Amino acid sequence: MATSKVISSELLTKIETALGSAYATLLDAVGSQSAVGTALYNVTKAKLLVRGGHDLDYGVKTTGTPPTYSIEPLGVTGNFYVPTTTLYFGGIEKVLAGVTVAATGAVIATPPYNSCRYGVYVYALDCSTPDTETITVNVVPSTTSNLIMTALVSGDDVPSFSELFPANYKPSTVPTTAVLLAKLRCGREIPTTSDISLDETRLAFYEGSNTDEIVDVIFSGINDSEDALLATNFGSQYTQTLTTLESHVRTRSGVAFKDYWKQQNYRFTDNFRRLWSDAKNAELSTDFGVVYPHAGSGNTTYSGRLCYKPTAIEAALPDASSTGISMSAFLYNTASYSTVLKYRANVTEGTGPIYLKDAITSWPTMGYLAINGRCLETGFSAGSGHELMLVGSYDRSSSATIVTFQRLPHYVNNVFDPWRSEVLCVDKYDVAFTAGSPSGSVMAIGSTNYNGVAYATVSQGIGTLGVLLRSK
Amino acid sequence: MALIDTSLLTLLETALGDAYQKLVTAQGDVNTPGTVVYNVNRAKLALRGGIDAGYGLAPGEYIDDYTMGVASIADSTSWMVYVPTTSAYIGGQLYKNGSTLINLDTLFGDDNRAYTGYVTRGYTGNILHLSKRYYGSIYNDKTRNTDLPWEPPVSIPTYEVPIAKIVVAGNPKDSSFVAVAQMCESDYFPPPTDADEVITDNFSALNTLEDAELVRNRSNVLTNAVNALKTHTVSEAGTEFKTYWKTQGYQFTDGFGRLYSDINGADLSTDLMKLPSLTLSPTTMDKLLYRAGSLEAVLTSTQGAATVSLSVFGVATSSAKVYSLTLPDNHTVRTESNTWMSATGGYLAFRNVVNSAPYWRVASYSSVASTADYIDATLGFITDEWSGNFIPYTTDVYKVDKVTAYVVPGAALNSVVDVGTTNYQGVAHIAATGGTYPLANTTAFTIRNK
Repeated sequence: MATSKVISSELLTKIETALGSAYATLLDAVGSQSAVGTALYNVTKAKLLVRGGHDLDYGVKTTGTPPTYSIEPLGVTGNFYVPTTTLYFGGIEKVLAGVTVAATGAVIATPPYNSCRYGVYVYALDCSTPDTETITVNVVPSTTSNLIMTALVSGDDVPSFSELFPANYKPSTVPTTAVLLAKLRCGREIPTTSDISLDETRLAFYEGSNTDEIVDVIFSGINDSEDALLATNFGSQYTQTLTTLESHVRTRSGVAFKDYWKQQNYRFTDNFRRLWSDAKNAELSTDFGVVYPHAGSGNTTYSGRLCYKPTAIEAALPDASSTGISMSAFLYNTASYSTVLKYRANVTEGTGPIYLKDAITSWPTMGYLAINGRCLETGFSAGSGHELMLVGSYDRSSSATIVTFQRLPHYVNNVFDPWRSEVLCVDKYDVAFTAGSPSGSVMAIGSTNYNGVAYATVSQGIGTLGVLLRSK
Repeated sequence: MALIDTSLLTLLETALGDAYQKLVTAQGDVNTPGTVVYNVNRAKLALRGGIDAGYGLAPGEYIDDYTMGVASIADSTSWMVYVPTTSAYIGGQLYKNGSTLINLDTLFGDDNRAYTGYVTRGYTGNILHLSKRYYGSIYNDKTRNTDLPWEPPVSIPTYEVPIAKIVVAGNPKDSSFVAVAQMCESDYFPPPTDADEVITDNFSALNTLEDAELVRNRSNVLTNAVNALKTHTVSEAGTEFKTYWKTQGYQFTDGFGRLYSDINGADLSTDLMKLPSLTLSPTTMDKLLYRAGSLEAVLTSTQGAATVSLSVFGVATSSAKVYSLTLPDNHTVRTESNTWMSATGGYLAFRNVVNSAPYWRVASYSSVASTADYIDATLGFITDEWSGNFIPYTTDVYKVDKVTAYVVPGAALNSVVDVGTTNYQGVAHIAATGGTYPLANTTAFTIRNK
């Protein structure tokens, strides 16, 4: 018979994982205005069908009602024709001139691969610099590598789109900054119009109705529903259950729920943390990472992990330290200090300009910022993009939209694509543990709440367990 | 009148219906993995133990040991897949399933092929389902073929429980042939070892949450959008929304139909079955209303000189499941115990889904004999669209009423006659008599809810 009257961590894991998954499923279905196929996307689409115009910063500008955007394939093996198309990048219209891309040939043209049937995504990417406007059209396989492309031997049915584009195997090489133009079935045979799907293409513009009576009544009703979907806190439906769980732990252990599990070094799933944040309007403690001693210039933790609610952040020593430790932590500021890149940013070792969509006049004249987005490591080919967060110092004294930037020494040179590469204001704090600090020592970082940790460095000489950064 | 045209209405109601369907699908049920209800149910079961879903996998000897066994390739020469002892809940019934060997070798010729598949437990034992197409290029690095996704669609009937996942790739005659077997996750939760206080403190809240999620109606967030369409129609057409679009013969999408029904507590008018002529079989539409309503017949052609007698088999809201495997040729059926099957007999409609396609079959029944658990009846089939097996706990059995309506000689196009006065949720079959040649060949009807 169990002796503890507090729920075990094994059972808690099962329950919080299941509840977190339930909530994540619901939020995924609600989605967002830009997530194709979700409830919000469809309601926004209905609204735009009545009102006209666009709400989305990314997508294809269609003409006519209903949208008539299409892509015409050429009857040439391996070629795929994209007609002149107007696109939205960051809310700005940009015209993509008609272009033929080697959709099939570029991926796998040589035997025996060309006997397979597989899917490719065709997408457009804004690679413009302040000097040159450039939009490229690229093609990537529908799955993470060619080992899971669907093949077809003679006599078998043509695979469906859902088979060729399995939902759980999205390609890692479709940039988040891209506008998806089409899905295409190809390989083995020349594609026809039936091999093109626009079901995941984000259509961002509608003509709207020209009839006053329709706009007058129907628009406001759909707009209200859109607002309701945007404003509804679905987490509140779980509040009573979570409060019961919280009361159980507090009653049986004498310690508050959050503090109890923090003491137990229990780490909740992200889904459950989000549920708790929405249902209880509070943040559970979470780890952002451990900063280890490291030979060389940087002893660093990276973290893409953000809080769901702003929270106080602290550093903890899992191990006693015989020598003094100094740490520099760069924390995400909570004051909506964010914008996006307007042009490609070529981040090198020296100082250079980066171009921002919005003027950062409310930011300090000089400080630190993080670029969080899709980048290419300098010297790599166009298809090798990946997601990265990079921190450096900035100076906006000359311009609030073209700021001088220099990456911190640890990072390597990178090129960031615009529009969805976020630029966030970060605050730097220096903290120090004195020599002889025991295991479990904790120091607050800053005196207010933050959205997470962007970067940290630590001096040599700390214990082998490093320094833990976590929310309080 | 500046009433919305049907092309814009279609775009709007499709978008709103799609939005609602997304929420409804996400809500799901206890038998659909990944849905809200499924996960909330699992949170409760983690605390209580056991299984609620009618279908699911349990460890082989779950009473003594809650550990799932290990599937493996038992013989690399003949590619025998070993599946350990398991148990499976199928339609709420527990089936013990001894360990078994499945021979893959006989399934492959010399073709270079790759398959993902599942070993499932059905009523007749273990069944191997392999996807028809292969996934992954056999020309790639063979050692990586085991990374093939499990998710590609494999036609597993809803009444079979997946036990183990199989990946095979390559030519079985070649040394590069790869096969991997892996057990599916157990759906059966062992009772927790936590203290009584843990259960006492938390079970009620989780159970209450599950009950709330089971009946959750999320249509309220879209009420204003639907009401705007209604208000606009009344304002511009001078007629109530449902009535106006019914007179236009407009058929709403299923998604919007569900949204409208959940908001208003009644369905839009929907065509439920069509009779293209008195000499042809009706067109099965597999339409069931979200809320039952009264039916009417619409004459969609001109009427001849004779009175036409329409026999409409309306699907009542009373239903049950088939209790045991039944071959229709036996002309008998065993259903779950229910209170609506009459000792004097009546009509039944069977609905089953095979490879995602729904099938209906209508029969009269008699000779009822019942126990506390089931009811036996003798069948006299009226329709023979589908000759497959009736699957226990999967095939739905509906109470059906045969209602007769008469259409008078010379009735005009679009004439409407009531089909009884009872509410039904669908139409299982139509039979018509009375027409005379040649008009009998062209006289056509649609049955819809009012």
